[in-house]
Amino acid sequence: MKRLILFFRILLVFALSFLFFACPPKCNNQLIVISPIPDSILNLVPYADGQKVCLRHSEGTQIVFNCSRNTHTEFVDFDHGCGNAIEFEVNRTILTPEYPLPEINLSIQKIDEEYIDMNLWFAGGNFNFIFYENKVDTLIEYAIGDHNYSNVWAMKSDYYNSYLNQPELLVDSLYFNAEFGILRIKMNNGETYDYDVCYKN
Amino acid sequence: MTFATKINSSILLIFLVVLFSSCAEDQALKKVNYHLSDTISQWLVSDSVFMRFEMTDNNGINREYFMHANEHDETLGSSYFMGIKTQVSFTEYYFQRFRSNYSDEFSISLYPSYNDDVYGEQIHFSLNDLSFHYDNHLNIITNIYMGSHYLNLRITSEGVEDDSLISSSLCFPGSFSINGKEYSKLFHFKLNDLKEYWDDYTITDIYYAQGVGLLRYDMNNGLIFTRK
Repeated sequence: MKRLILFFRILLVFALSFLFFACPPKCNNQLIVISPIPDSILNLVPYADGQKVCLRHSEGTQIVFNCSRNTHTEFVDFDHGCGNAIEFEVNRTILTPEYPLPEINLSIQKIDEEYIDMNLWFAGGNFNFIFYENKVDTLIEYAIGDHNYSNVWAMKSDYYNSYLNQPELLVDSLYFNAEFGILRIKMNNGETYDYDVCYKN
Repeated sequence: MTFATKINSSILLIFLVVLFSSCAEDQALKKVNYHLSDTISQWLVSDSVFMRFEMTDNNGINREYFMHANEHDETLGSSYFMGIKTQVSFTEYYFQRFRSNYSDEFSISLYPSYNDDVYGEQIHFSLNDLSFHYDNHLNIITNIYMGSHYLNLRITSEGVEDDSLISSSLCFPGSFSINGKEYSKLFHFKLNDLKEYWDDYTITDIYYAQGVGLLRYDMNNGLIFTRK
């Protein structure tokens, strides 16, 4: 009996020592607050909360999108609560179509003081803009019908589609400027969605 | 050893055999296999993952559907009595799912009959927010789901309790023509239920051909999507 009690005491000592060693080291966490997204970048997306935005399909149908836009704060914790955390702003715009098509999502986030990241997603296509403080993007002139647009970003799509099997009908390219927003989304079968003035605003 | 002891030993032995055999996942006193008939299996799209097709709406906007899952397997079911596994069942099923580049999704699943006297083989069909179950023996739609709203028929050994609950229909037109192509073995589903929850994008009609898949669907706002 005495041996059994001794055995349990030794077991308890081992268990307690494991418990103490299992404790994580003291955290040295610091919250790094990134400065807000400047207005100069927010103004690159000319959509306002509650606004109607219209695109015309190449076969003639005008598609009306309802815009919702807001800025909120997000946190990124790189080391499971034990390292530096970053607090940064995200400005999100969602264009919800009044047509059976997917939403268009636009997100501006400033997760670093060096650069600002902007992404536009539509139907599996992704367009990534990166703005550095001292770097000016090369912008082009672009004509759609009779209209000439200046300061246009022309971009090819990346794909974020995680399906095992991808569709072959994909978003090919985007033309965008700060005055009108989306000027053209081009599909790889030649169909386009072009900027249009809404009939019923 | 007396006769009574022999009997007790035999009972114990039988009990132990039953107990051990019930531990194995697919072992029991009785095994049942539920298989699908060749007739119902013809509703599957006769192609493999990576097959794709395009549909266009009446405004000329195209979307591409591609097969995302194509499964043929069996599920294992068990029945117990006083802790003893008395029956295991192997139920064959087929499942095919398609997605579109514009985030639409449709699927078809086929299930065998569990009780030939009451239920028949089942087609479970789903397109975006709309799903229905069709019983091939009773020749009726037994379940309708529209988002979070649904209607389920109650079926017992006495039959269908309230067969007027669901008024949506599934019929089999002799033939159907789209873009110059003639399809002869198809179903036409027409939604007539849950009208209080319909919106512009509610799918009201579906045409689906054996071996081919989705041919056409209509929305409540007049949009019609047809296979190219």
